[in-house]
Amino acid sequence: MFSRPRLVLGLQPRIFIKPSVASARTALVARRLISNSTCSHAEHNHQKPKLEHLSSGIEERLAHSAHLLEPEHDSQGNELNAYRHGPSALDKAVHLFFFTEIIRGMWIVLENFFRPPYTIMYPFEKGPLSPRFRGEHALRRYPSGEERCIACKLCEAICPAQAITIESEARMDGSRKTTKYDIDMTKCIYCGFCQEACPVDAIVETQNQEFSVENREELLYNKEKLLSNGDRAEAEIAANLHSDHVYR
Amino acid sequence: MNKSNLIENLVGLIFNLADVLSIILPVLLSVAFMTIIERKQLAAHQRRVGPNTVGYYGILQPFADALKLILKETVIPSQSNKVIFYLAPVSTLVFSLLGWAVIPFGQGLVLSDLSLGILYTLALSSLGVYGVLLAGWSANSKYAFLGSLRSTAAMISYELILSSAILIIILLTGSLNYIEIIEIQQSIYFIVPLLPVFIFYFISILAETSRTPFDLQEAKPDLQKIAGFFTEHSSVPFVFFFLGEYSSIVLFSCITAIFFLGGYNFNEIFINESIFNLQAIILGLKTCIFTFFFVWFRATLPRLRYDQLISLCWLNLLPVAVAFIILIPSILITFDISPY
Amino acid sequence: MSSIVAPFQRTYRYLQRQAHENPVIFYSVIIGSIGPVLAITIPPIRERYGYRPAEMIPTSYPLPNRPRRPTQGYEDP
Repeated sequence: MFSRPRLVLGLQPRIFIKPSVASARTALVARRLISNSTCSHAEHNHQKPKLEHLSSGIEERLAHSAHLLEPEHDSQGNELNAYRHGPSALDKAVHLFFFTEIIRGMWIVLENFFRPPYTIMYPFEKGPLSPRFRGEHALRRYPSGEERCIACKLCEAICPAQAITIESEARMDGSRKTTKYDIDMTKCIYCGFCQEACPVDAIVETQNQEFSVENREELLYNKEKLLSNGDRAEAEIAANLHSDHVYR
Repeated sequence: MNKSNLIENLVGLIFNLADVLSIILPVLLSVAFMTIIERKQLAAHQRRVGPNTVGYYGILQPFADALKLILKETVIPSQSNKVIFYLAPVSTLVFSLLGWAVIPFGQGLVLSDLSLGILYTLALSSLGVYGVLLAGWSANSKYAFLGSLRSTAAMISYELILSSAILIIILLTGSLNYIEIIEIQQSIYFIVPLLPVFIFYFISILAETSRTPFDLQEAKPDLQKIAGFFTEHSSVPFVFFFLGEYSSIVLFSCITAIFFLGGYNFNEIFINESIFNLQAIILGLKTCIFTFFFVWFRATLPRLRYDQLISLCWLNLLPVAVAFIILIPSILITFDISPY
Repeated sequence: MSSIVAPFQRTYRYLQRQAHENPVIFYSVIIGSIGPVLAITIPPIRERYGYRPAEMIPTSYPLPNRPRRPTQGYEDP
């Protein structure tokens, strides 16, 4: 009873790939690679375009050349079989009823379930920061210990959030220095314009982003706070400025 | 005579309460852990870590969350209907917990062995809609009202599919009793012969518990930052909704395990004569399979649009359900294997 | 030949269109109609191959065809 010819309903041949051990193995490997590797590796293999061949002829019907077939017309000129070029109704129904697309998606999600997470355990591990990172502000000094800031007020002028307030006066030796250099960190939008405007690289934004405090007053930075920031992070700031100086 | 009768009644009452508590407490605990399991599993699917700070591996997170929610202020809208506003979350939780009354955890381990257990479950899942409806209506907020309308329409529609799938199981077993359904699956789990039925059954319980492909109440693009029918509920009423939602997930997973995976049966691969009740553990493991599926679906599927939700139910699932309602009794009659 | 096929040709095209455009309803109708067809066609075939449906299990005891004998000696004191 079961030794009848294979083409009952045309169903069985769809299930079987043509017996070719090598092609089956490559198909298996290729599937693993597509799901495992990044997009740049998951390309079509142009050397061997036909890895497997289904005897149902679904690939031929899905191919572009299928449109070259002559359309059939009846005596009134109506097209007879409009579905001839696409996949058969049974193919469509199988994909519909057995949720093939959803199952493929779910399989990918399940594969990822068994892979390690990408998480960086933040307070204990930290990701890399760009040398251009714009974090907490600092005022720098010259190696002699003299403040760099010459109170030109360019940063105050350019600050889009108007977070910087500067007052200045001439010192005994004739140099103009700031008496007050306040940054309202609650206003600051960390655009980095002050850093770019500064002609002497005095005001910089450091890579420190962890300066949260418990009340607003502590975020109104004055000159002492900014200078101490600069003193603490001078090596870091100098290294960052040096690594980036080619692009400035 | 009268006095001893009173004492007898009192002792009986205490034992009844102990019976109920011995089910309710582990269930509530499992519901609490369901929340952390969902978050951890979702995190694993998305290659994250998930909550890992409170307790070892974050297992105390649900208790921290519950404590935080309880300590919050209960905000009641001034124009709301206060009685119903409080009644809605309570009814949601109570109706989803009541479903556990008929679940058999092992041979003879059932709170009440109703002969119409499935009817009871279906009735309770219908009553669950009332919590949603009343919550949305009583809050006197258009957003809560819209959310409740969406949830209600989805739940009522998909209840039809759920009942159809259960009807097929009833036809196959010839009984509405859970224990008989479990015992009849000693030969084969129903998931094997009834796989298509299982597929639309599971889709309908996803909608019934308003889980991801069907969780329109939480649709962020349409209802920005609004949590559906419990928008106005905060603090303890919100906790009740939350517990009710997850309790119904665990309950439906358990019922699915009973209907399709043979409940506490493990086909007598091993014989257990110790005091340790392995049957309940087997039921628990089978339940875990389906809770895993719930979260897996949530990690995979995008949300349906409202019209897609309704047309999927009435135009796609209902014809299939009706077809199987015709097909399966016909097969029973054809091969003379009907259980009556 | 073609005149015999022609009326069915239209039906076939209609069914083909339904199978492509409304696959759920089309295949639901097919699955649903398989059932009654099975129920009508299969039992005669089974009986031809020698299957005899089992006797109905008796749901009650046969009543004896005689007057009831009153029981005695079992009354409560």
